[in-house]
Amino acid sequence: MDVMDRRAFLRRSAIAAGTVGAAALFGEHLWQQRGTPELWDAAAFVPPGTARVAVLSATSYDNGLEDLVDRGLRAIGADVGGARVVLKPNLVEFDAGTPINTDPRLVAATVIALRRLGAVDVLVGEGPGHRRDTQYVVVRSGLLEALDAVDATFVDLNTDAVKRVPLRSRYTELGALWLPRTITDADVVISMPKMKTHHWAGLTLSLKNCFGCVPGRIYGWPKNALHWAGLEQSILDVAAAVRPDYAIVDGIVGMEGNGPISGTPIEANVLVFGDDPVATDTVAARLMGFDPEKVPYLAEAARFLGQGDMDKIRLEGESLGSVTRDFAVLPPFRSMKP
Amino acid sequence: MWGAFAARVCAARNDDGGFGPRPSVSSEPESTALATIALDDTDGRAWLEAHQANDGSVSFDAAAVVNDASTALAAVALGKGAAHDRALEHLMSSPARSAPSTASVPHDESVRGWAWTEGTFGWVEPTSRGILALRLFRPDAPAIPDGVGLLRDRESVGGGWNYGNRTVYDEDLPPYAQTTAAALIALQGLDVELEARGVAALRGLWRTEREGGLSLAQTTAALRLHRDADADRAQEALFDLFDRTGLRDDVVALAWAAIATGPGLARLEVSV
Repeated sequence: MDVMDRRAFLRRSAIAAGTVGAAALFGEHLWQQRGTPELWDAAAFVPPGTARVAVLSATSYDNGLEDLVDRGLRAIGADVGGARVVLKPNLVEFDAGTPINTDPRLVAATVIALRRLGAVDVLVGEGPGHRRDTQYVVVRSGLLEALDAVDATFVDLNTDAVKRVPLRSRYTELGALWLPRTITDADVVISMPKMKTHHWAGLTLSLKNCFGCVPGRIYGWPKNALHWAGLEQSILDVAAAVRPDYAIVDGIVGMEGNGPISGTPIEANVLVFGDDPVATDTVAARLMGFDPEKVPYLAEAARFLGQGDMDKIRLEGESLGSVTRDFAVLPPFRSMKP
Repeated sequence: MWGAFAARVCAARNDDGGFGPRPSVSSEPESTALATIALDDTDGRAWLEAHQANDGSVSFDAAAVVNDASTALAAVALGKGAAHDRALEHLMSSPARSAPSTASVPHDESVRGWAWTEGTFGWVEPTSRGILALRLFRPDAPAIPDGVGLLRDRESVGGGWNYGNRTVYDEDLPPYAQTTAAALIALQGLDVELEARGVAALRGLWRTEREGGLSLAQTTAALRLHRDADADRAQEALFDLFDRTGLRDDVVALAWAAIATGPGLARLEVSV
């Protein structure tokens, strides 16, 4: 594909992404068409080795969650001793009774578990993508109260100081991202998504959750500049820029159907921990009844950003078959199922 | 109480005369423009003039993404003069792209409004800013009815607005207080029925969203401009929240609170 063709495809894809947000609805993808080895800097992305993922059963947010998180983090060998850690939960919107967000009790339990493991400072940061009134979302969701109870600080990533981060991958034409200092200055970043389907991308887990690190005051609400640049392409570039060190997926109660906002609750009764976000999302996708290789952005991420080969993912905890649920998806995404 | 809000905004001023989104964060267009409107601030105006681009915009230039959505606020903040005129010219020459209508997200393709970032689709808040600035200073601009058309098209079922999608996959999306207030601040007499639905929605919305400083501040401003009696109660809630939280040092929320409760509100009032 020559340059003009590539740009035309990008424009087409972006137009669709900006409204229907559905690059995934195209049968073909930008990176497959381009077929160039220059989509990422080889020096910046070491070929992924063996990843560790722990799948732990959890049926409640109320009992012994700190111990469970402690167990999960130890199972994946989380190294946070002496580190300044930032937790990035998913806190995009609030609707009473709808499990849109990472449960605040899990976030608070993780703060405690990380301190037990020797973290010297644990912050919680998010830049909500739909509502720009972060104070409203963080209070009504219960996150602020939960963090107050464990004496932890919340940082609004939509208003944080920013730093220009040159992109080392080139799925979009953004070239660089202005990311919050809270993220760029952290020793360890942990992506903490809700286990949800997504009406533009199929599913949203720890990679897509990185969108919340992109400040709305620069990129707009609902982070529209990223949709314009191509949703799936942006997921790859943003995740490659943020590069979370670990991931913890809240699947105790997830969301299926018209996620990430308007879906229905599904009790998946599981927490997924990983030392590699791609591996974590690969396993979580399987637990949701998806074929990870049929989720285009996830399959592409496995080429450079992390481990997607199940044979190279060391699993701890439950056997996948015993905790897999078949998350309902909108019709355009049924092709992502086996 | 205006003095308390104004003092907090003043305390956030940077050495360069501008204001960042939080204290000690570098100065940016939106926070500086709003603080300047709130305080009628000479240094803020100087910062905006110094950071105006050749095309008249006052933008956050993030390379491939240029957020020029604060240019309308800057036009209001700058007052009369060459820089103000250039900001308005930019506004009139840089509408959003038309959003293609799809089965999953139906839109009126004939309206454009204004976008957050150059060359992308129109959304409720930047469109509201564009309408307001032009109504104040270029009331005959053809972009005004276009912007109102976008607000009509994106209105939530039953009234009010969210960030800018009415339905997605046949799901009606609910309105928010903050964006409903932003649209009402822009409309001020342009469409009586649309505004009546919006005000009615806002009276309910702010009560459920009263833990949000930006929501309460913009609600107070909107209800004041619409001469709605509920403004006093929204303002009381804003004072209470400020006493309890300081609005979490969000300079944009603090500046809106100062505008809503002080002389800055007159700078946003359209003569109808």
